[in-house]
Amino acid sequence: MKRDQHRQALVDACLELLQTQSCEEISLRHVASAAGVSLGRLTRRFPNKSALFEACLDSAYKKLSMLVGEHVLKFLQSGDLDTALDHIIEDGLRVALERPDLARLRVLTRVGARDMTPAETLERLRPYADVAAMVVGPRIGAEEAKLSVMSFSMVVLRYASHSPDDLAFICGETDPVAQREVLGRHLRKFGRRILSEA
Amino acid sequence: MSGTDKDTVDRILEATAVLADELGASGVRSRLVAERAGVGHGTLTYYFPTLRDLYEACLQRFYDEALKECLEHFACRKEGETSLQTVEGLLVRLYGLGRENRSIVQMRVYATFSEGEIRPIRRQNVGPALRVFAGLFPELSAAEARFAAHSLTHLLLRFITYPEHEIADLLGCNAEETAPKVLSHLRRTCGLLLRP
Repeated sequence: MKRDQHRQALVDACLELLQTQSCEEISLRHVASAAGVSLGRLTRRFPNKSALFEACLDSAYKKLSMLVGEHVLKFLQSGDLDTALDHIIEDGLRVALERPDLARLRVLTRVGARDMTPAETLERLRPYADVAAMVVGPRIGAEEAKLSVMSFSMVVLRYASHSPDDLAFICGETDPVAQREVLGRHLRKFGRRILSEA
Repeated sequence: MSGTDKDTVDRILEATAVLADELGASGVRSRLVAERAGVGHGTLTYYFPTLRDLYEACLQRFYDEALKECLEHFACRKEGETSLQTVEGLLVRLYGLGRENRSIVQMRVYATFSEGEIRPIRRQNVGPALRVFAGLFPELSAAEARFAAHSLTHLLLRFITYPEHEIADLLGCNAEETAPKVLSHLRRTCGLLLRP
């Protein structure tokens, strides 16, 4: 039990620090002291920064999985696919856009391990791809459903990690609120169509 | 840059691309590049003080080539071709170009995250291609057209970067089957995104 408490405290502290500092700036020592856990204990749970960052990402994915799970359950009861998709897209956007730091982090861990494949492994997407194959597969085909989940998540995460300067270049809006609005419209259209239209 | 300078730089960039192909971008070392290009290490660091400069130059060369292909493709539209067909044709072309230069495309991911954010694209170079693109779809707002172009480019690059066996694994098919599947997915996405 205590082990789990330490683990959670460390992940929470790291998530908190990531809001204000870049992943390069954060040190393990820093996280340990913020969590009130000794550095030795920390390194026993997380031997390096990558492992700690992976655990932070897990928490975001866990949150998303719960939300998606609820919508899928409702869909199975009601049969209303379009409403379920709208909710899933909305929640996906919220989880990704509210933590741009995590969207950026996602790409780092695997490269940090000197692995040339991009970003996280596609393994993380598997549960979502499988759900999509089951839910929208009958409409657009199972493989297409999986590829669409890949595409949608790649695009959402990419935009989530863009700076206001990048977004200004893309959409010509300099006001961050207006940028988010145009971006949101694009991503909703993107998600809705790609996940449900043959 | 004089003729010999350009020649040296070309040789260095070529050697970098070949090494990245052989060893992966993370295996590229300045000494190896100098050796392969047949130039002194001092010469290499004169043109490219850090590995990051080298990555950026490689990427910029690839992007310049891709942009040139875009403009060429737009300029040589076939008669009677719809705007969507033009863009689909372009996607196929760029997917091919990207796969030929896969190690350089992968370099972008590696370089960005090992060396910090890099900005190899000179934005002003993208402008002309984007303007033609937006002109093909007058029913879309300017912002929407630019978002669509950006999203499609991003997907193209990402699908090229992912190892085929991983995509195959997710789809439950053979690695050789992924390229046509990805391409047909990109075409479908293109049609859906560019409809008002």
